[in-house]
Amino acid sequence: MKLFSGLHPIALIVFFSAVIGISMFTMNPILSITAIAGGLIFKFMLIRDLSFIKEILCYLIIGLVVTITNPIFSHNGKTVLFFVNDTPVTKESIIYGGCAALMLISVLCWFSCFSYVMTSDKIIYLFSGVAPVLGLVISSSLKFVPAMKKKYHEIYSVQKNLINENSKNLSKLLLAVKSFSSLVTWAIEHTADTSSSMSSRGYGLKNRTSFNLFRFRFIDCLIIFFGAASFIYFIFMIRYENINFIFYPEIIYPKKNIGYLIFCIIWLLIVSMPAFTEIKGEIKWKLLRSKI
Amino acid sequence: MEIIKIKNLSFTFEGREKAVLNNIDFNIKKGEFAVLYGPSGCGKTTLLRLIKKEMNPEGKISGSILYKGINISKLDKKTSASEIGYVMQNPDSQIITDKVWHEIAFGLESLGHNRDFIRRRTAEISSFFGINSWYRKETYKLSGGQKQLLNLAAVMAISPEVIILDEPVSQLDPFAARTFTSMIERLNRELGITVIMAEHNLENIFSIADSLTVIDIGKVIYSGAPVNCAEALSCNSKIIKGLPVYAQLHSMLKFNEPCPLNIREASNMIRKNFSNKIDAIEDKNNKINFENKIIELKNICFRYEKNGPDILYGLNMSVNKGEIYGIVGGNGSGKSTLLSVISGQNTPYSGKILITGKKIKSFSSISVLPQNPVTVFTGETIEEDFQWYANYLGMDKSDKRIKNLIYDFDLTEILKSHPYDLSGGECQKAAIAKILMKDPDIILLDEPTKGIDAWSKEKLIQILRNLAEGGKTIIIVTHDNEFAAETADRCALLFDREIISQDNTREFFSSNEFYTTCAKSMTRGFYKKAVTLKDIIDLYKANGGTL
Amino acid sequence: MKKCFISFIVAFVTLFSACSIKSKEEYYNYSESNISGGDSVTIEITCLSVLDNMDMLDSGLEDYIPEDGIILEKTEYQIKENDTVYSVLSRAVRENQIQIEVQGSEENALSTVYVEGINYLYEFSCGSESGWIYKVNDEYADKGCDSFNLKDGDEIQWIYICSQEDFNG
Repeated sequence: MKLFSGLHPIALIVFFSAVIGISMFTMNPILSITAIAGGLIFKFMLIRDLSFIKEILCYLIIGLVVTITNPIFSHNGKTVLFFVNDTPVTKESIIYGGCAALMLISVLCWFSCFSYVMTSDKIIYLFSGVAPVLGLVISSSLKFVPAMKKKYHEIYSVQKNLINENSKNLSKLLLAVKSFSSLVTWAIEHTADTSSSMSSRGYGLKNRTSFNLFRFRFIDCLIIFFGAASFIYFIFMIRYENINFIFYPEIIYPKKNIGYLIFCIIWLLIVSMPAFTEIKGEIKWKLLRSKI
Repeated sequence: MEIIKIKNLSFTFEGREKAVLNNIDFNIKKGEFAVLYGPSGCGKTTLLRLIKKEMNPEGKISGSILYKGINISKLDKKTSASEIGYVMQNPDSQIITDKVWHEIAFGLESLGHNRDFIRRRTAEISSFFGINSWYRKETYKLSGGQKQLLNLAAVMAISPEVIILDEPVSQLDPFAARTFTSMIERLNRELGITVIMAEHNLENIFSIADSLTVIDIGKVIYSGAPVNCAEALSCNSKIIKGLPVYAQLHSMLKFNEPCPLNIREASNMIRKNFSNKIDAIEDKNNKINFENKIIELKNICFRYEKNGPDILYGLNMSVNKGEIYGIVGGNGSGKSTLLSVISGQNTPYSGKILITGKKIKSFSSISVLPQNPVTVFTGETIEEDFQWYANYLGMDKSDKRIKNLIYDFDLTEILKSHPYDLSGGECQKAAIAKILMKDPDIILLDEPTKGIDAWSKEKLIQILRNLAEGGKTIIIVTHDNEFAAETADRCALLFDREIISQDNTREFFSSNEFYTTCAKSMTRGFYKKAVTLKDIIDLYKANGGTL
Repeated sequence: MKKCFISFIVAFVTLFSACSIKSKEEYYNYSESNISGGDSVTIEITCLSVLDNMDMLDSGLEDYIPEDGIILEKTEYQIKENDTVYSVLSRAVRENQIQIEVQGSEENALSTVYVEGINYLYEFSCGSESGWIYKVNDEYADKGCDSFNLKDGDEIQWIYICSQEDFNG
């Protein structure tokens, strides 16, 4: 029951473009933290794995590095804390670094959700919208590359028994070269078979259609509308109002007018929606299962 | 009504002198299950490719092939694509896309069907083939058997009238092969699909086939019902080898009754015509010196990944010098893994491997014949490859060893060939010759009977016997119980991560009731210790029968 | 992994020990000594053109523009040999506690010191053509401020311009 990740690829790409696009141009720790929280919960609901902790650690390290490095390069800011080698380190530049780090993490986090949700078949679908042949090419390379890798390992281990890798200095290289040349022959044979399999199943006839498993539902319409609308609203906001913090020379919060508040609410809705749908689906599933 | 008519067909490949097919006449009725049988390299594949327009090889053709009265070359492209399906030998290379559902839909996309039609058809096909549970899986993650089933499903999705299958099960393990064959039987019996299938091993399809056409060296030498083929072919010792054991028995003894088509009928035939006063033969060959251990495995534990399951656990095994040791076991029981551990390609996380009592392993002492023998070669031709390897090993050009190997293995004719152009049997012979060049003490063979015909198998057994007599120790991992029974001195069953039972081959198979050879099944409860065709014949003679 | 971690810490400690850290008071409580008598120059820092272009100014900076547009009034400084426009500027801002940010000569392609911002007013802070320039004796100099050697009586002006026209006019 992966509700959100099961959306139509077009809906997904619109939604993620909106979220990532907005995050990228938002220097507002409140909005960034909301985005990170929403993204992380969503990612956790998707993977449910210990590797999640690794990911968080990775974000923390990136965040720390960005926060520390900003004061080294930027000396703007009203509140000087101390001087290092006669250059000032200011409170504002540290905070700016922290906020930039949050922005970066929110973008990274949503990108990682995006790449997890956008499986190869969805990407192929999007590409075949542009050019059907391109979709097919990606699809067959996605099949061919793992097959080739597997074959290389097979050939390598066979050749390892014939060529003693410990005997001469260059034996490892020789082994790799020999295995690779054998792999090339295999690849030629393999593709010849594949192409005759394609033509025997009618590839090259006129009026080829393109099939996919995705259904466009009402919810996809809604998501597309919601994503696009909030992006347009965001552009309006940064053009005529302001949602970003000002850091230099001193920190100024954005004006808390109605436009800003509406934007905050929309943003909260957007970034929590994926996680919310996944959790709702999970609870629903638990409930349903308890009735079995 | 004939759906395919082949009249007087001859074919010569581009740039060759000799014709591969000579005056072939061959008709297939609608709804027939036709089997083309012959040793590898006899021209089966060429004949099949000539029937499917898109796969036609380059060359000179004479005679005619008619599909529903229309010459194949004049057949409309769309008709050919949609009415004639073709499944090739190699399960991997026919797959085009990365997802199972897309693979099934591929042909339908080509023919320009709309979305709803494709959706319905792929659903139907997956249900029929039992693909539902892996419908959304990546194709490269499937097993060989699943891949071949997918290839069949992808061809069937177009709903062809005729399907052509070129040795579709030769690369599969026996279990997957049976699943695949029974699927073809269902397609034929339940849906009336005309089936043309080339095979070099008739074991699985002998009772299913409606007609059997035997081809040897480009000529049809028999065409008719399988029941009569045993008698008709009895004088052709090469061709007869690919028939099931009971058909071979029937053709040798020439009883005045129809040839049995399965083990049950064969068992009845034996009980009716044989006597069992003497029901066991004494084993003479106990030449193995059990004190002379060359390989010992002690408490081997192995897994591929840190958190993965144990493939081998607490495994003990010992092999004596000059012995042929067969390891049998079901699919995925870890046979090939065990072989890779012995050869040092994989290292166990616990346990000891001793070779001639020492832990050190010298590179030259063990050679491996892999499942795909073609991976042994890296050169453009066999000759080039051999020369390079001899040079690598530091052999002299005048070294007689290579010449002797080429002579012993009868490789002179194929020296100039590219490894990929050889038949399974030829390639294997050449591969064995190559791995012998470093003069190993121990030879490991991984599924050596996969993809080779009965005739090559017979030769392989001879080669292995000779090597063992010459003092080499041979360890074979195989699914093929018949082959293990005929070749090995001792056999072991690998199950649940360790060697469960291990015994003298005859004892091993005769005490097994289910996991055993065809000959043992036929004579169950009648003879003791008859595990090969030769044993049955011997017992028949011992009881006063004459050939 | 462990090796990587240890070497990282070692590098960090070395870097840290090479830095001298001063508090704000320590830094500003400083004056160039041992310059006596001799030559002198004047320096002034202004941003008059911003006053005419307040609509282009980045938000948040409004409070930092002096009402008269003068950040540093014309001040006289004694110079020693080899003093440049840049060295006088850095002395002036330090003594008057004015914020400054420069790009060192090793950081850019021109290999001269480039003044990015003075008193929180940075290049591009007031339109896309804005930035700091300097004049000596009312003439635009054609070289970097760290290679312009001063002589007695020179008058340095640091001027913030908002457009090319300011430069020409």
